[in-house]
Amino acid sequence: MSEDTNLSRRDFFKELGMVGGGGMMLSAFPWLQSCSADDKAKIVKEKVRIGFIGTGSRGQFHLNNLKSNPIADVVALCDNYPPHLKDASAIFPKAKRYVDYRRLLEDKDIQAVMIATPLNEHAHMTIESLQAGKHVFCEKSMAMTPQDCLNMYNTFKQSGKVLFIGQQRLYDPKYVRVMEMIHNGLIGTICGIRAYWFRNNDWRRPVPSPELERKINWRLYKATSCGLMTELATHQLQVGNWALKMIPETVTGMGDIVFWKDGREVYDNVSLIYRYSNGVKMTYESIISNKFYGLEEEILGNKGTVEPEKGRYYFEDVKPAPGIMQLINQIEHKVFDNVSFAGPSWVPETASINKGEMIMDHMTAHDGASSVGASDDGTVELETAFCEAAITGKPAKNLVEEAYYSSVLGLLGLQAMEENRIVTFPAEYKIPYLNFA
Amino acid sequence: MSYSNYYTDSQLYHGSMSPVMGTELDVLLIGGEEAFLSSVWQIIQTEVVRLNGLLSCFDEDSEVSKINREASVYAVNVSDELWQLLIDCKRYYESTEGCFDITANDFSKVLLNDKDKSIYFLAETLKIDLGGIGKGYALKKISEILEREKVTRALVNFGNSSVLAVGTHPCGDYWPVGIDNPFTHERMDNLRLHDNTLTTSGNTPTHPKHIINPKTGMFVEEHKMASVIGPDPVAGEALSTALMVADEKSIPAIMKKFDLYEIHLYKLC
Repeated sequence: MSEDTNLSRRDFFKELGMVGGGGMMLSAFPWLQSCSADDKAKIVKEKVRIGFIGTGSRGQFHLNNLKSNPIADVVALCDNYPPHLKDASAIFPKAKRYVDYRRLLEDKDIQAVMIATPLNEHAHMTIESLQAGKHVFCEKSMAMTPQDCLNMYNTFKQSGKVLFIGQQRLYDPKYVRVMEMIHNGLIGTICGIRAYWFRNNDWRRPVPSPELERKINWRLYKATSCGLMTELATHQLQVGNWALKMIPETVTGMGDIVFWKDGREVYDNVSLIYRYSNGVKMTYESIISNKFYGLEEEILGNKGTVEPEKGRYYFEDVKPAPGIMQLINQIEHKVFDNVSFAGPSWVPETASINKGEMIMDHMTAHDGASSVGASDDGTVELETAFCEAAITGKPAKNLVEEAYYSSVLGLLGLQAMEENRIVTFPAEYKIPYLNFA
Repeated sequence: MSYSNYYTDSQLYHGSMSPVMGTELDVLLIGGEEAFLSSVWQIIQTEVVRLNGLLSCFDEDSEVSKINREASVYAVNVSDELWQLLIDCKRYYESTEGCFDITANDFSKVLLNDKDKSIYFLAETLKIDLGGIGKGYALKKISEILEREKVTRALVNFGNSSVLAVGTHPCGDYWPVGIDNPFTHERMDNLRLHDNTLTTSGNTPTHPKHIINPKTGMFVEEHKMASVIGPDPVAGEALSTALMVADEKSIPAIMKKFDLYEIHLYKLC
């Protein structure tokens, strides 16, 4: 559900003060600078030839975006479920059709592969694609086990190819902006994070024939899915790590099937605590039989609070003038422009409700109800960045590391719930990044 | 209560305080280590709290409250600092043809005796309210602190109506400040500040009645706004308020007396 107008890619960078020589502090967001302005100019007329594997709902969401992406050309489609392949062909009628992804990988004309298949297919498809010399975009979460995640990471590192994982918040303007604000000390020291995703639906897709139940509703069964932890939590666990610039060391939690007792195998109700080495805890809850609180990652600092999903931040006591915050933002980005704050004397509102401030002027907030994707959530920017990287051959720095840790943390959380214990991050799954470097 | 944050990359210290003098204060100090700029912010906060106590008519212990209680009974001796302010107010009362009046009634009934620096009210109901120049005076004192501490780039916003600009924006030759129409939120003007102050008086949708015409005792309710840029923030407060009160005919004469000030009059719809 959108509450504001579209934000074009150019506006994204403009909002961030990155045009006209403005210097965004990109060092904190290295994946955003993997394609330099020179590179962008060079590749403007090129198109990356993409083979798309997995053309279900999320796959078609990507395909519809790619259709209007000037540097993308989907030349091949692959799915082993004929109705989905047919739907995808309607979007890219000229693309070759495959049922077996291995045949698609043999196609020398294909430079890049995008994978939006069920979770159990991610690891081997990604690894085989990289080994076949393709650049790869794979949907989150990475894999079903930490070992598979690590295998994907290692193959990526050895391959010299580009790998993207579909963590679109890394490219969502309001997240990029607010992370910069958080890292600049806006809300002081982060003391806690409360993340949650609440929906009220059975998470099922209509099944045309009973024998297709496990194929269509793969999200509900343990052979193909890890449930809420891999489908929803990974996005939000990544936000916590991004804000804290740390990976938590331990996790515990409980998971149950409370409401949707319909034969599914994955939890519909989870509650976890991730603990960082400095004592900060990130709690995570997901319930899919009540939607009132929607989704959020509440980031709590000693000077203020951020709600990035809603695009708002709140000061604890004193509320600086919004124009002054905008002026600070401009000075930080070396922008010289008229900020309006002067006017008749400002008198504090008598209402005690703290409504907070907008992170950016033009923003889209989502209620998290869609299990396909939402507009303006960074997905288009992420796809474009992947296409650019596939053309230049330059990976997006730290992107896979961010995705790796959020995937593994989701899986460790699941392990903690299933084994009913505190799980410590295993040394063998640490890769050189942030506090585990 | 206050908030502060230091932005390392641009050596920018942001201090914010609220509520103070009925509004909020934002201070941007640029150029210097965090510890140094933080110490300047502490000095500013202490000073503003002191001034609030000196000038407030809500604080029973303030000097102004004492005057309001006692000056109609006997001549009250006044501290040097308040004395100087009262003298300035008298001067602005005269140069604005009575449009700026801290009694909001009849300043001619205030007797200021410069021999013993005392004040006496000729009317029992008379009261003075320095709220109208309080923010301007605070900016003047903050400006002195910044000069003494050798802070060469700063922007101080006191409740939006009183703005002090020291030096320039780090990326330009002045501090650019936009003024919006408070009724429509549309941009009306872009002003340039550089080692001076901008003072604005006007009505807003949420506060349509807060300026009293001392000559009629009625609130000024027209949709208009006056912004003045000049060297002295206290004079700026007096002048912008007077321009809201004055009728069309007296405005040229008032403007003539403040020839150092850049004056912008806005009709709001």
